[in-house]
Formats: sequence, structure tokens, C-alpha cells
Amino acid sequence: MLLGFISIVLMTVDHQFNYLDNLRSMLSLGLSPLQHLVNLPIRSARDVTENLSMRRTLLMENQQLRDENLVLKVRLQRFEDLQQENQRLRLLLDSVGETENQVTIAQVMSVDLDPFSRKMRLNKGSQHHIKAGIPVFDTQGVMGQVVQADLFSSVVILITDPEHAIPVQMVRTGLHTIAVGTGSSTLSLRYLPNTADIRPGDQLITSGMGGRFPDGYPVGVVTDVQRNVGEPYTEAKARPAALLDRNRDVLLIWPEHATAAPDAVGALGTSHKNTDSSTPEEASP
Amino acid sequence: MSLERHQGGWVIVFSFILALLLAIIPLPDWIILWRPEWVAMTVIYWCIALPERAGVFTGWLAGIAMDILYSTLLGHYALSYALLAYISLKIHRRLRVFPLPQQVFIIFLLIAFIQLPGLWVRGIQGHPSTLFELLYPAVTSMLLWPWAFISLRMLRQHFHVR
Repeated sequence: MLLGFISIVLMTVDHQFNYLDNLRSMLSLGLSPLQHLVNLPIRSARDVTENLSMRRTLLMENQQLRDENLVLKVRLQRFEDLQQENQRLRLLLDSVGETENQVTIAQVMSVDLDPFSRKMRLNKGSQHHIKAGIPVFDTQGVMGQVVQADLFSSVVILITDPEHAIPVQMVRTGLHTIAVGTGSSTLSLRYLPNTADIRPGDQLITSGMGGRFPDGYPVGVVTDVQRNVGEPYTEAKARPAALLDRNRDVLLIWPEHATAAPDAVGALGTSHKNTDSSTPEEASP
Repeated sequence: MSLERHQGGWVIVFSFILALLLAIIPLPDWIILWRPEWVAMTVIYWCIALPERAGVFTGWLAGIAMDILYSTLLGHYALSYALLAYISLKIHRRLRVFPLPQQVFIIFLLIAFIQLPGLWVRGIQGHPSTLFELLYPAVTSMLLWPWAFISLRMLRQHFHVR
């Protein structure tokens, strides 16, 4: 009875306030060997298969990556030019210039979390200056944000989790709305008026409202719009742009106003350099 | 409570560690909702095998460990498993003498029942209700219970846990 009562009190406190975050990180430290015990064999098995893959495949992959790198570098040259032009124009308009954001790379641990929520665990934690609230991306778009940073790992809530909502904007019309997770692999767009100009195929990007996510990153594509005359709002569904459950490496992009981490590595748009030699980054295939 | 009476506490701890590992081993997406409740089964086993050693507090501790690993609200699994331990303790005399098929049925009911607090907690957090999915772990736990029961009993007898 007493323990049941304690559980309920704990849940209430944990739900409403963040006093328990420290307790949680401390307890989590004790349990982290378990997570690493599960993560390590799976990861090393993957490494071994990578080591055993044939020389020819490796050479081919190498060639492919080289080609891709070349193409990207050429694009980057154009991009840098555009960025400079953009900066100049912004200066002319007297508006705030865009600063480069700090990024850091982390890996998704091969550990399962609560099957009913959409979360994942990363192999970097507060030791690597990761804090709750830092947005997480992959190469395709927004994945989610850090909700809890333990010492050696952190938990990321994905944008499809029913507890997560992200302010978005349509690329085509500039319409602002909120994309809420559904718990499956889709997003639901809320509070769209019945007259809203929205159709399947519309691109969604972060709007930067709320200050949590930087603006202009792809979030998803509208897949389904249902207009009910009797309902006050139009219902729309969207498919996330990021490959939410097929990633091994993710990017954490530090918001501009946050104090940049001293050893957060690289900056967006420049080459990535890893200063932390104890955890060598795996080359993404 | 002499030292001679209680022994092999590490076996209990070890079995819980094993269950927690099984609970976080990554599974393919289509099977993930069917993951058996390994920790719940371990709680039930120790409650019916050694009711004087394992109890509500054991269940609660295991639940807190699950909450940490699953990043759920602190107390979510703790409440479920404390409840589970309480019921298992209440019926341990009957459960112990039941033949395995009958035991299996009770395990199904128990594990299905302890999903309810979790359902409420998730409901309060705004998750869509998932009534049928909650029964999947109960089904797989039911199917794997004889195996878990026999291997835990062998473990207990081999190390003379009392």
C-alpha cells in the first residue's frame, strides 16, 4: 500500500516537475552497465561483419562515397557563396545574421525503450555536454529532441511520440501549424482552419517558433488531408522526413542562444572533426 | 534470521539482471509489442518460490529499474510490479501446487491485469489507448512461463537458494 502510494506520488512529481531528474540520472548511472552489456555485443557484431565484408565491396563503396563527396563539395561551394550573399543581403536589410550552429554526432544505442512511446537512447550524455532540450537531426530532417541526459547516455523523444509537438511551417504557403506525434510513424497537423490551403505533397519545415528547434529544417511531407464540413478544423497527416527508426548516427545541433559546448565538434557547413579520441566514430556507410 | 537460513541472494539478483537485459535487448519492429514481460515473470517466480524473501519491495525495486531503463515516469512499472508481487504473495500457496497448464492461465491473467495501471498512466500522459496491444505481452509471457519457471527452479535448486 505504502509503496503504491509512493509510486503514485513519484509519478505525479515526475510528470509535473523536474526535481527527479537528478535522481533519475543517478539511478541510471547504476543501470548503465546493463545497457552497455546489451549494446556492446550487437555493436561489435556489426563491426565484425563490417570488417569481414569483401575487399571489392569496400572498394566499390569507397568509390561511391568519393563520388558523392565530390558532388557534395561542389554543391557546398555554391552553398557557401549563397550563404555569403544571404549574409550580405541580411546586413543590408539590417536584420540579424544567421550564425553557424555547433553540431555534435552521437550514435543510437542498440537498446529498446518503452514499446508504447517513441524514444531512443544515444551513446552520449551530460559528460559530452548534452542537455535536455537539444534538437536531434539526421541527414534527412528533424528527428526529435533530448528529454533526459544521463552521464553516459541520453534519451531522445522522437517527433512521432504522442507527447511531442513541434511548430512547423508549410514551404509552399508559409502557413504555421503544429505537428503532434501520433505514436505510430505519422504526424498529425493540428488547428488547421477549414479554409487552409494545404494538400498532400506539401513540404513541412521547422518554423523556429518556440525557440527550441532552429528554423528551416525539413520535418515531413503532408500525406493526407481530410476536410470535414461539420468539424471546426481540417485534419491532416504527415510523414516524417527523417528516417526515424533506421538511423545509427544522429546529429545534435546546438541552439544559437545556448552556451556552446567547449568541445562540441565542428560547425554546420564545415568539415567535421572529432576531438574525442576515446570513442572513435564509425564511418557511416 | 541466521546466515544459514538465507543464502544465494546473488542468484535472485542475477536472475533480475538477466530479466532486465532481456527486457532491453533490441527486437525487430513487428515483434516489439510481443516482448514477454521477463521482469514480471521473475517477480512472480520469486514471490511464489520464496515468499519469505521476495516481496512487494522486490517487485517495486525491479519496477523502478524498468522505469529507468525504459525512460517511463518513475513509478509506472514500480506500481505495476509492486501490485503484481502483492497478488502473487497472496495466492502463492495455491499457485505453487497448480499444475503447469493452470499456472500458465493464472500468469496470463496476472500479467494482463498489471498492464492496467500502465494504461491509466499512459492515458493521463495523452497516449492513445492501446487496449489490445497490452494483451500481447501477456500472451507471450503465458507461452514462455513453463520454460522460465522450470529454468528458474533449476537455478534455485542448483544453488540452494533459500
